[in-house]
Amino acid sequence: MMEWWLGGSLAGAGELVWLTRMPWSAVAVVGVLAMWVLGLLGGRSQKSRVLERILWTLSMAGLLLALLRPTWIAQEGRVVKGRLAVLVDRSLSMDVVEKGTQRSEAVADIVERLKGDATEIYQFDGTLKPGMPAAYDGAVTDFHGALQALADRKAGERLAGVVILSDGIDRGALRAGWKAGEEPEPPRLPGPLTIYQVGSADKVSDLSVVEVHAGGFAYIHAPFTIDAEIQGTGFEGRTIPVELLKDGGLVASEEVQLDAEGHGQVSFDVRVDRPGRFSYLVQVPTYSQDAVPGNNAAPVVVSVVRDKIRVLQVAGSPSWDVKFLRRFLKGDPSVDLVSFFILRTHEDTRRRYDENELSLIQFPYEQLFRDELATFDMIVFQNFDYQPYFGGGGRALLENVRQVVEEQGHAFVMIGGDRSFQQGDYQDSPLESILPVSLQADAQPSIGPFQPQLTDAGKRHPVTRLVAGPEENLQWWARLVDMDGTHTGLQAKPNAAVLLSHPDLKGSDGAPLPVLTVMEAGYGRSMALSVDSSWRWSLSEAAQGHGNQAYLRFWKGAMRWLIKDESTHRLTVDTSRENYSVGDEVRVVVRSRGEQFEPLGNVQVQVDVQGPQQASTTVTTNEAGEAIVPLDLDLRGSYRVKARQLQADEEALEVEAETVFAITDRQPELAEVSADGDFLRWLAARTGGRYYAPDEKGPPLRDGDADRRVFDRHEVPVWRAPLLIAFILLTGGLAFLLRRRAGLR
Amino acid sequence: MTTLTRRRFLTALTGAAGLTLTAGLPGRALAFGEQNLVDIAELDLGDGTLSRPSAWKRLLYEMVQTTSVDTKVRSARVTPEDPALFEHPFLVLLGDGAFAPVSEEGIKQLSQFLAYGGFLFIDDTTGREDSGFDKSVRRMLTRLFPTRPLSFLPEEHSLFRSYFLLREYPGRVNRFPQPEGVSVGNLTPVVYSRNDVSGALMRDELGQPIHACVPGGEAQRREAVKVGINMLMYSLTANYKADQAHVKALMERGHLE
Repeated sequence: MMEWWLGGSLAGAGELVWLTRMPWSAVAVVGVLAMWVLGLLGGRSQKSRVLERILWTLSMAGLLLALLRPTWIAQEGRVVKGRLAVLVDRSLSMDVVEKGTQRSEAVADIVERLKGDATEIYQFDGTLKPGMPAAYDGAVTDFHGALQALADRKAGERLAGVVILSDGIDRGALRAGWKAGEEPEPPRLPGPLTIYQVGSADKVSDLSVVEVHAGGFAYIHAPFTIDAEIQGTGFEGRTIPVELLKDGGLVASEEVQLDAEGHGQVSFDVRVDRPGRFSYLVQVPTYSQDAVPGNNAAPVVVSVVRDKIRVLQVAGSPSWDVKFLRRFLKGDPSVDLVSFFILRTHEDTRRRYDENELSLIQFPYEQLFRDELATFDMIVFQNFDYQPYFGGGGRALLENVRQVVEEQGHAFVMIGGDRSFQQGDYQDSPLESILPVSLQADAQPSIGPFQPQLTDAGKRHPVTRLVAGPEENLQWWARLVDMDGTHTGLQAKPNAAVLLSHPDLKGSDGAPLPVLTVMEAGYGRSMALSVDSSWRWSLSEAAQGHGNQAYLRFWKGAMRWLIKDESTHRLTVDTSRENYSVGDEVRVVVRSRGEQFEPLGNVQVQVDVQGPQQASTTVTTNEAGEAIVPLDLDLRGSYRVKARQLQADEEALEVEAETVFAITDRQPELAEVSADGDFLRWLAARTGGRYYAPDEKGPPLRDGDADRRVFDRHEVPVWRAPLLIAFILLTGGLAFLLRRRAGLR
Repeated sequence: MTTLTRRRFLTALTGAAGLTLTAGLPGRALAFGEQNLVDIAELDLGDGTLSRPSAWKRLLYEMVQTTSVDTKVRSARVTPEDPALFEHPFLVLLGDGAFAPVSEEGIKQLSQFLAYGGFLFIDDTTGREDSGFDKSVRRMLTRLFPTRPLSFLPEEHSLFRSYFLLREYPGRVNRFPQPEGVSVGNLTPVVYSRNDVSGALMRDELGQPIHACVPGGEAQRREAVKVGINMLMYSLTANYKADQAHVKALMERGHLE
């Protein structure tokens, strides 16, 4: 009760502090004097005057006391122990399984032992955060970064100690420098360091694909190497099978012998026969004791590009048709042309000329059709009969042509003439399967002139698209000069497209005789042009003042279509990178372009993602002709993105596009999983700290000077104590009453 | 107009000579499309220019006898203004005197013809240093190619090895050791000879040479035929013989350095 009247407890050691300085005290003195003078006024007894003066004086004195704001301040000191900062490694490697137990399970026991009133728990990977880790999924471990962050946070404070719980797989500067034989300087710590190693090197067995290199890009048809680095902890000296997969399918397998340190390298020779992005995966088996199955595979995506379009032009005889095609091909800077023309046959020996007079060379048919065939993107047989030159091995060499087209994605063109198609005896040859037309053996050529007719397919196909506008394109074809003779007895195959047909003659199936026919032949493409007078589209067009654009555009379009040239695609789909880690955002960019390659906005595009996870969406391109599709994928594997333009103009071409990318749960953090006690021991020694091996349970180093004495401050505002206020009011009130009783105011 | 295909040539030849050259040779169907067969057309520029169809028939005959090229014996003569010019990618201009300037329309059409793949062989039949024909030719070529001078073809030019390895370049005369030409890039659409090549090729109705070749006689005529064949083959294959495969093979045989 007394404490209430006094405004608080005034017990214990303390001192009274006056919070108010002048001028309030002077004002109070003046007030007292005024009341004193007031007590002199009026007529009454001496006793009353004295009493009133006393009461006024007491009241003013109380008021003066309150205005000086007396406060009772008491301080009590006590000793606080220095704080212990415990840093727990929350990186992925802490979840490695050793003998059936995750490393991180040991963390809880150690932290429990260290816990106390003065223990602060932090978690770190690339950054430092307060609290215990909820999950061990940090992508990196950076000791230097974590210790520096702690030092910054505790700047000016002295800690009793700093504790690190980790497996020692630091991927930051400290361990890198230490491994390089340097003596890197750790951050200056606010307290002595103690390291508890979690995990042991000798308990873990792990097979991993550490790195895969493919050089980023490769040239089409040119071999390149995919190198993989294999690490097998617990597999030292063993032979491990390594597989290379492309788009999920097995491409090659090799065996690698790991050395005494469990290290091995393997190389795969790869060749791709078409341009584009290709996702490869190098993988090793997952054995039952494998600590981290997620690092057993590593993807690499390779972009395969064309160097130049290599074309092989073989002609049975020089002719105007041959001349103009060579002229076109030779004039295209993107074409690397190898021509071979038969200048003389066995028949052409009726004039006796010494061989030394001739500049003729042997037809290197075996070199071209056996050794180097796969280096050509496009093979052109122009009025060429193979039998007189290929000898007994003719079918085998033609089979090579079929193989590179059907199986390796090359292109083949047969152009008419009296040595071509049936006249070249190609019926029932290996080439017939890649020709877009089937051949009727006994059919004789037609020698009459005719104007080829553009078919419905021809009106839409890029090969026969000479100009952008459909109507203008029809006009161009209508004005072109007649062709002069054609092969007959041709019939388009079911999966072929007839682009030009004869206006009168019928094929063996009764349909208009195909003149220009194209086909997807296995992985490759083929074209059959049954005339040998396309050269007239050049020179005769020039006679009409149209230049040679019709000829150039026809063959340019044909070549691009035949080699599947992606540069002409108006719809493209791409990702910024080839390889992503789980958790990364994958941004698919769709671009739509118009006839003149101008950005095309407001185009609806269906985007389908195929892979371990499926996704499908429809986007609309913006004014820049672009649309971005963010993908949230968290399953490892190769993904193929297919884009398809919706509501495409009926005449629009190439409205589909695709690309590939890869996602892997293989994190760099898991590239090595063996705990590194040596590094931890070095780090402890480098800072003058203490290191504990996994099974050791000693106390952390403590800095006794880090303990500190703190004081609890207790203040009682006496000036507003009820007792003082009551005193002022009581004495003042009595003085006032006394004056009133004396009849004074 | 007669179509002379390889097969018809062989049949006629073996029939006439009583030989069996075609025995054992692979049969061949009739070539289709006359337009596509190789022929030679003369450019008619009026007075000062000549017509020697027998020379070209002989050249085409030699061509078939010697090479795999299918030809058509066709006597065509076109003016520079005639759109039919474009039906004959191999054009010859021969003469023995000055000719009138070609019309603007003719120059334009000839320019188009040469720009888009046509070939012009010019033959000065006088064999003289100073001829009116030569002056007219140079004047015409200056109009056709204002920025590209007529110049001597270098020894490594494909013309000299398009079929035969030519070490000299004679015609009826052998006065000018090197032909001239106008080159555009690595192609030469115009070749100009002043040795009267057509004179060496000309035959009478009995197939006998009309002009004597001087100073080399029949050996020189034989070389002139080779010049004609190379000319025609060059017009068909352009710089084909400059391709690396040919150069390498010929170097290995010691024919090129």
